[in-house]
Amino acid sequence: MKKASKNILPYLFAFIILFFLIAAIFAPLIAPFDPVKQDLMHRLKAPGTVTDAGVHILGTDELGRDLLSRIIYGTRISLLVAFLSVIVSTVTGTWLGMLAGYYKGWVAVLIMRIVDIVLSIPPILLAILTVAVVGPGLGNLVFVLGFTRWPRYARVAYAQTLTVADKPYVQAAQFTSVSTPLIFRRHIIPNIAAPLIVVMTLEFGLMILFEASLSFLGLGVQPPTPSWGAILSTGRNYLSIAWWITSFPGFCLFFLVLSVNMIGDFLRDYLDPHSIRR
Amino acid sequence: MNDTVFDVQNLSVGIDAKNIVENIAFSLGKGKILALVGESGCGKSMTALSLMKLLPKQAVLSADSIKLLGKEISSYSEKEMQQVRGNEISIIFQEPSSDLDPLMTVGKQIMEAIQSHSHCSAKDARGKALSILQRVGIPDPAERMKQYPFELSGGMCQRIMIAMALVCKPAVLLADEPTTALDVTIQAQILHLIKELASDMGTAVIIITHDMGVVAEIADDVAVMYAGNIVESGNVESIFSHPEHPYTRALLASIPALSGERKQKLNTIRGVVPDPSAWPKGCRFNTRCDFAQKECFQEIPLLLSVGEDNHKAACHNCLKLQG
Amino acid sequence: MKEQKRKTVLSVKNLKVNFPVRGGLFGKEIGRIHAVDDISFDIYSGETFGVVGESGCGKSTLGNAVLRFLSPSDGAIYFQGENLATAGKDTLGKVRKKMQVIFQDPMSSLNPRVPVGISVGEALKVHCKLTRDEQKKRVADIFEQVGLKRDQVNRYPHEFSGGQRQRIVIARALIMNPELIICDEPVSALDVSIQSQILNLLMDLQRDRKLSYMFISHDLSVVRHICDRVAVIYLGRIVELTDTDRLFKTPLHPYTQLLISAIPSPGLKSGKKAEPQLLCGELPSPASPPPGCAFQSRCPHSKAICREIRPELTQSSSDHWAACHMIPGDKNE
Repeated sequence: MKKASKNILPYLFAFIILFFLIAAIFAPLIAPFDPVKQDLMHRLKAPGTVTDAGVHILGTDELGRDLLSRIIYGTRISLLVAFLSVIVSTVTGTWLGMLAGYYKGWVAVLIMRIVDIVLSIPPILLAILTVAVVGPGLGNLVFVLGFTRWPRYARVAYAQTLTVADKPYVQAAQFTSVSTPLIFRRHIIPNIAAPLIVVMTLEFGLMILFEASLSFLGLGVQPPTPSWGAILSTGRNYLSIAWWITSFPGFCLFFLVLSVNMIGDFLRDYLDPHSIRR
Repeated sequence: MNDTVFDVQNLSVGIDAKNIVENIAFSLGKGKILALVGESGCGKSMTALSLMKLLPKQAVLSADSIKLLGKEISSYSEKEMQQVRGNEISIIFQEPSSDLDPLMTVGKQIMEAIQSHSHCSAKDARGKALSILQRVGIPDPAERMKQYPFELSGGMCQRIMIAMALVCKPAVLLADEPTTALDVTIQAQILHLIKELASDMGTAVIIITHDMGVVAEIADDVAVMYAGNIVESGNVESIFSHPEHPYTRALLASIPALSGERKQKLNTIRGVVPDPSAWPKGCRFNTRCDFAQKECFQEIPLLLSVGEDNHKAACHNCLKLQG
Repeated sequence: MKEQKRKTVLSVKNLKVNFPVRGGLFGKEIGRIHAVDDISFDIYSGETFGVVGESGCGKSTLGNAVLRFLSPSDGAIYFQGENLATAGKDTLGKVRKKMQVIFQDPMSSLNPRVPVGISVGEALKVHCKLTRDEQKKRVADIFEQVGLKRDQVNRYPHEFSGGQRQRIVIARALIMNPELIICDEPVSALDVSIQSQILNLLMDLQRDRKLSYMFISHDLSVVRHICDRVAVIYLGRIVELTDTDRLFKTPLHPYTQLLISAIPSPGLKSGKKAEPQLLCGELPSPASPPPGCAFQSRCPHSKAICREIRPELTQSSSDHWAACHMIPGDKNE
């Protein structure tokens, strides 16, 4: 709507996201140092310290690695894990939710009960279990996050499909024997997509936080691969003598998640059918 | 005339510096029923809301005068209007079930309405509620008062809305499409009730509707609205027996009649109602009128007398025929 | 009789649709709503068959059962030599090419995210082996026939007004050259001036294409104008069935009489119109209809027999059927 386009805030938040995205994609070009190269001579140096190798703008960590480079490479992991797990949970959740909403009856009962069960498992517990069984790693992280988060999409897709499937245009399509996959593709998915996109953005922010907390607990990406959560986790031990190690990744996490959430809120208003139809 | 209870002169409503309702003028006597009739988007509901000063925030109301019982309310503040609303002027809406609180028994809602306007004990309020429910034809009112809105049918809910609107014996009752959501048999009951209340209690009624049948059934006076203007007004007999404005004529002719030939081609009005942002210059009906002439595209016709009994029409052609 | 010579398009025999009423903690079935209760009628080729009644009387359920949007509990629906009531998916798909539907609300009848030409042409894609260009031409042709412009096929529903959208819905119904169109309140969401355009269009199409309509409506003046024969439905049963002229001139069933007198009409005002008869009370709940005649609770003429025995739909004169104990023609049984 008009009001939204006049507002510059969404553009600001989009810019912040873009900023992190560029950092993630072009990490090797941007990062001033190798993120895993240790330099034990220059441990825990404050931001702005100049060494033989160059300027450590954000200082160094407990093994003398350049913090800025580690954060830039960490962005990669954060965004990648969040992106993949959102895709996994969206695809799973939307499909199951749509099937439940379209076929109703026992299909719906079965799927929605599974949703209830999965929602009652604490995600951290599940993560610990999974890591215990198959070991830590990026793939497992995506699996755990995707598996614990799909019910939210399923619920939204279920509720939306219930209303859309009863619309006369869907009935008319069924009446003319349009194949079920085409009914889904043409008549249902486009009409339930808007709220799901909003859920996706909000979940994206949540996934970044989840990845950080799992890595913080040592259940996520394993060292020496840099990830925001892992940096925060190790930095915690040096909080009293090296505040920068926890502060900078913390700030990044805060700004990125805030921006993603604000964009989600903005999309919610923008995609609201009432605002589309004048 | 002394029994005029409501008199409106030159009322306009604007949104974004565009007038969506313009030059509305009418006056209404005690116990009379005026129908504002028009198709969707003609501004009839906006007019009703503006009379209660219940317009949405972005809408601006301007009027030369809005006189309710001789008091000029056009300059009233929101606080003063709250005193007027419910006491001297009440409104009922199209969807009765959505205007009642679903979590409160109807009896409690009516008693609340009574007690908010007059300070009386719960017992007195209950007695009053019972008698007014009886008055609007609700069978077994004591039992109904214990029920929740969802337990009552649409017709019952509308009766209760009318009862609540009438607790303070307002001088004017605004009814915005009161029977559109109801079945014909129930509609007939509700219209009969409104008519009876107007004649017995002397309440002046402004009924807003799109249904010419409802108008013929209930109204004393009619104002036909098109694109934010009143295009024709007068008493109900003269409008139905000899409509003057081409729009009124076309509208009446497009309704399938209950007598005469069936399966005939119905009269239609070509095109669609123009959008308020693109109202044509001159007469606003000129894009759809079969008789439009040069001046219709240049000058807005004024609402002028075309016959006896206050029959007025806003059309260049009607005036010419009058000489 | 001329009726016998006419071809029957749709034949509904003793159709029943029940819905379970569930209650209690475990959703046990505690009763059944007879939404459509033993309804039979025929629709002949080229005629408009009206189905009228108040909301909740079961007229839309009847339409949905004929369309097989829901399964009838009992009875038969014959169309094109098949019994739709028991037909499987394949038979339904084959038969439905010749039966179409127009819904009440033109807003929700079209997918807002798809160009209208695609919505209209959907059936062609499923049923006919046509090239893309042939399909496009057929859709554009049909657009012209319903009074739209050929180049409007690529637009989206929100670019059209309500009346235009209803024309698009009609175009979608016509694309397969159906024999029968079920119209479920096709004009009640439209303004009067637009309503008359759509009614004219429906009548023109019927004349040009020999269509039959089943016209479900609550608006008696519209029904009178467009329908050839009318069935009046009360609580899931036909209470009166005859041709339109007879129904409006000499209605037999008290319910029909009251229904007709309740119509507010500008046409009647000119004469000295009697106060309309007011129907007291409201439609009883279909879950617990009164015993005997379903209408007895509101009927001004009800007698003891009405409270005990349910009147059957009987023929009182040629082609005039009514279900009431008080009708003279009924007595000679």
